Amino acid sequence: MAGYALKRLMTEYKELTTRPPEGIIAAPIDEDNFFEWECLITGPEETCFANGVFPARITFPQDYPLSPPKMRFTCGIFHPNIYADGRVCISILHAPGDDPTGYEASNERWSPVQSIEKILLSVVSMLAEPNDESPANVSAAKMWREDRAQFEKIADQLVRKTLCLPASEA
Amino acid sequence: MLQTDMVHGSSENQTTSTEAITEDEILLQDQQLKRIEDEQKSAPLVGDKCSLFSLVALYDPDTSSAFFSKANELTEVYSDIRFIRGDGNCFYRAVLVGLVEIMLADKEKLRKFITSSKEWTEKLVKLGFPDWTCTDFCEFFIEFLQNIYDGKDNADAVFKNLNDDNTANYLLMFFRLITSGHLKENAAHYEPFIGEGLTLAQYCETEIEAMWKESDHLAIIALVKATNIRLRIEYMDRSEAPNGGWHHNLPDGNDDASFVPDITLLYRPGHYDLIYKKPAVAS
Repeated sequence: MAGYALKRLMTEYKELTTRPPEGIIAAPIDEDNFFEWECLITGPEETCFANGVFPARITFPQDYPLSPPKMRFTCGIFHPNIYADGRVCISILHAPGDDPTGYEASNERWSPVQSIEKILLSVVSMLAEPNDESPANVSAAKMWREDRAQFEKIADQLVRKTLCLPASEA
Repeated sequence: MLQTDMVHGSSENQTTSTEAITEDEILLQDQQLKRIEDEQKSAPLVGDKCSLFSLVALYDPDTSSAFFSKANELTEVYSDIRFIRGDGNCFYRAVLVGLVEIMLADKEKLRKFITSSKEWTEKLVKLGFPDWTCTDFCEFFIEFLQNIYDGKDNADAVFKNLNDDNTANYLLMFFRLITSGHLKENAAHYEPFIGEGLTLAQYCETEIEAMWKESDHLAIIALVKATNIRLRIEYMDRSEAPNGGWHHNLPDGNDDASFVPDITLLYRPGHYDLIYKKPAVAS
């Protein structure tokens, strides 16, 4: 049953290692289990997440790529489109019609011709440009909108933490 | 499981009440979806060919008299039905099964279809579909056909594949891609029919290329054109058929007198099954 999913995941792994997108590393945690990946995403330049290196896990369903994977940051990131437990909530991780937070119809959705690379690139744009219209973390969305300075301060502390730097004076 | 635990365990000081409701709603929605999915999966993807009277038996002559009498009427022309699982893919799946049956019986048609499938692979890439994620499905489909052509897979093996969730859905994706490909190739013609402020490309990506999305009229026309088949759709409910008739021939513009369909589908509200005509001569 999982044979096709495995074949596809191996192909994607090969693609990602031979032509890695800038600032992103992604690979299966264990070569015996291609359905659980770890990735490191560099915060996009000229944003409050710049220079940070954010670890996340991607979990693939047995019927991948027919169904989309799930992605979860493991570093406690405070962001409008990331749940408090780290789960990423962006349209490309959802099939059309599956609308937990009511995205715009025109947002890019999951389809079997999408890829892990497409997801990771969408996550990078999400870091650069949070979507506060359909927030997964309401308090982060509120702060992003109303108190940008505080939001950036929290982001900066996290960036320092991911780089093992001491916290800055608040 | 892990995720469910996390939803409940998310720390309260970080989670506002609005968010908690949303997460509970998502959880409930997930459970409901799972129940619907389990219910769907209790039926085979592709049922065995069986007598059309099994359709008649589904309707009560008193409480569903219209469907009961229509089902009875159909038995005068059609002898068999193959029930297809109602999972949002039924139109594509019914056509896929119908076509495979034709190709199992006619090697020349099979050869032609292999050729046109190869042409589609190149065309899809030219139309801008992502290269290897798209061609993966094409190659899989062509290999499936080639195995029939080479005699590696007999009818039993083929139907086993058509009833295996993953194999069958991989094959079905090829049909979704060429449906989308036909629409994109003829964008100027189809664009005016796309509603809701979507572009044709967005419509294709969200309505056609995604699995488990039901087909609408555009999808039906496009798949018929992309596969070059003659399709008849019989309607259980007269109000659903164009021009108030009982059936619809595709491509459009074919009148009943000269039209010999390759495949006939039965449409019941929201669902398609395959039906088969009685043998022409009963001597």
